[in-house]
Amino acid sequence: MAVPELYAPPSRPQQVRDQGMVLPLSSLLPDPVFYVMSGGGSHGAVQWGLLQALSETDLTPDAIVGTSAGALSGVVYAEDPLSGLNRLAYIWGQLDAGHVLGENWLGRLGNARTIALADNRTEAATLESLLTARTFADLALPFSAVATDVATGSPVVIDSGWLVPALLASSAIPGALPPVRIDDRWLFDGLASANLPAVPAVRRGAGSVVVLDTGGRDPGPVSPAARRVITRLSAILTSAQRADQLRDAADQVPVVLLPTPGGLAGTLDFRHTMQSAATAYSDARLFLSALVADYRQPLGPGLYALPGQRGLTDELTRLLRPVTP
Amino acid sequence: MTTHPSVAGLRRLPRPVAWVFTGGGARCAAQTGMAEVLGEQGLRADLLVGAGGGALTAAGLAGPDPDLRRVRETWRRLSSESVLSSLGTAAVRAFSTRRTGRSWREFRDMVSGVVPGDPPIPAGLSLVASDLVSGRPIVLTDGPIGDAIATSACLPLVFQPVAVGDHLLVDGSLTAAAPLDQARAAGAASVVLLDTGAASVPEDSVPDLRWWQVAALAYGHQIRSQLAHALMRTAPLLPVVTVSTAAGGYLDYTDPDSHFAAGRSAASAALADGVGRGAAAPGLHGVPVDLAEDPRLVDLLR
Repeated sequence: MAVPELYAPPSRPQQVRDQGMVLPLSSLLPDPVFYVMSGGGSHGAVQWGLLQALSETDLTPDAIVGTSAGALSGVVYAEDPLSGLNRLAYIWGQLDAGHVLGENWLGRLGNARTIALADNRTEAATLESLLTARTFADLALPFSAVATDVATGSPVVIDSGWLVPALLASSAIPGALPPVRIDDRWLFDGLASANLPAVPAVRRGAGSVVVLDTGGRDPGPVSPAARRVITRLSAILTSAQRADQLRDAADQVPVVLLPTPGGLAGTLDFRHTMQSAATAYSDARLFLSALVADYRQPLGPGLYALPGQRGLTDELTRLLRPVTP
Repeated sequence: MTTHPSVAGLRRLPRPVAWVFTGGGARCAAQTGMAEVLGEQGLRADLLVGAGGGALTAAGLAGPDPDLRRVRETWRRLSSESVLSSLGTAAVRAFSTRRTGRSWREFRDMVSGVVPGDPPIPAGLSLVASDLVSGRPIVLTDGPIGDAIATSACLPLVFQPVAVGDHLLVDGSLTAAAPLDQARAAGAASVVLLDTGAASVPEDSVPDLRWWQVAALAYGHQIRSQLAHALMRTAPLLPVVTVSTAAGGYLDYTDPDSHFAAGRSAASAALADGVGRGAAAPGLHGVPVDLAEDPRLVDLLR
C-alpha cells in the first residue's frame, strides 16, 4: 500500500534562521529604548503587527513617542503592555472612519467658514471608551504624543496632563478635525511637523530608536485630477519629512526601521487593515531575526533597515546599515 | 541714501553670487521689497534662483531690462484675482468632484507681465518646479519665461498642473522651498537668501481660520520643515547671507503693498544690522527668522 501523502516529510522551513525562539534583541539596543510610532490613519493597524513581532523578542521599550494614529496605538500599549496587544487587535478590527470623524462630515464641505469639516466629539467619545487612564501619569510606560503648533509649525511633544485632549490634538487631521488648545497654543496633527517622530525621541534622551512606521499607500496613477494631486502632494511631503527625521535621528543613535507593507488603500479606508497588520507581523519577525543574526553586538548610530525598503532616499543610504533577510 | 555697513561685505561675496528666492505663499511679495532695497545699495546678482512665488521677483530681475515695478503690478493683479479665495473653491472641488483647478493658461496670463515680450528663459535664471511624477524638483530650462514663471509658481489645486513630456509640474516650493541646491548646481560661489517662507500665522488668528486654510497651513509647515536641511547641505560649502521676514499674512494675497513694505523694512534692518559684513567665509550669515533657535544650525553660524 502506498504511503499516504499525509506522511510526506515537511517541506523545508521557509526561513531557517527563525526558529520560533524569543529573539535576544535587547543586548543590541543601547538604553533607553524608544518605540517611535508614526501617524497614518487606517495604516496604523500595521503597528499592531509590529508590536506583536517585537513582543516575541526580549525587548521591552523604556518609552513610547507617537504621532496621530501612532499616538492612539501607542497610548493603548503604554497603558498596559501586557493586555495592550490584544486590545489593539480588537480595536483595529472594529475601528472605522466613523469612530473618528462621525457621520456626514463631508456634508460640511460647502460651509466656507468652518475651521474643520468634522467636530472632535465623536473621537473624544471613542477615546474615553477605550482608555481607563485619564492622565499621562496613569500610564504604565512613559508616553508622549506629538502634535504641531498651528501658528508656527513647531512640533510640540505632550507628556503630561489629560490624555484625551493631547490625543485629539495629535490626531487633528488638518481641515477635517479642529485644532485643540493646550497650554495657550493651538495644536493640530503631528503629521505637519513630525509624522515619524524620531527626532523628538532623540531629544528626549533615546539611546536607541525602534521605528514602528505605518504602511505606504498605493501611489496610484498620477493625474491632474484634484484628488490625485492631493494624494501625490501628501505622499511627496510626508516622504521628505520622514527622510529628514530618520537622518537626523540616525546620525546620533541606532535607529531600527521595521519593514512595513506598501500598496495600501487610502488612510481613511479601514476595510483591510488586519490583513496588512498580519503581513507586517510576519515581515517584522523575519527582519528582527535577521537583525539579530547580522549584528551580534550593541549597535552604533545608523539606520538599520532592509536595503530595498520603501521610502529609503539616496541621502538615507549613506546612513544605512543593511539587514539581510 | 545711507550706505549700510553690510554693503561693503556683500560686494566682496565670492562670485558668482546667487540671489535665492524662497517659496512661501502670499508673503513672497515681500521679496520684491527686499530686492528693491538691495538694488538701491548697488548690489547685483550674478545668478537668480526662485521657486514657487519666489519665481516672480527672480524673473523680474532677469533679462536685459529688469524692472521691479512690473513685479509689484503683477502681485497687485494677483490680489485682485483673489488667488486665496480660489484656494478654498479648489479645496471643495477636490473633495466633491473629479475636476481639476483653474486653467494654467489663465495663471500664465496673470504673471507673464513680469517680463515684457515673453523672451526665452535667460542664462543665469533658474526657476524651479516640482514634478508630481518623480516627486523631485526640476529646473526649467526651455520655453518662454512666462511659462516658466507660471509653472514654478503654479499653486496646486488652484491651478491645473502642467504636463510637459513625462512630467506633471506644479509649484517648485513643494520639493525645493529654498532652492539652495539648485543655486549650487547653477555654479553659485555664494548665496543671498531672500527668505519669506515661514509658514506661520499669528497665534490669535488661528480660531478664525477656515478649514482649507488649516489644511494649506499643514502643507506649508511640512514644506518649511525641509529648509533646515537645505541650509545644512549648503552653508558648509558657501557663504549664505540671509534676509528673512515672517511679517504679514502667509495666506493673505489681498494686500501686497503691506508685504512690499515688510520686505523693505526687513532688508533695511538686516543691512543696518551688518548682516554679511564678513561674508567671505562659508557658513550662515544671518538665519531665517523661524530657525533662529535651531540647534542644528548653530555650528554653521558666522
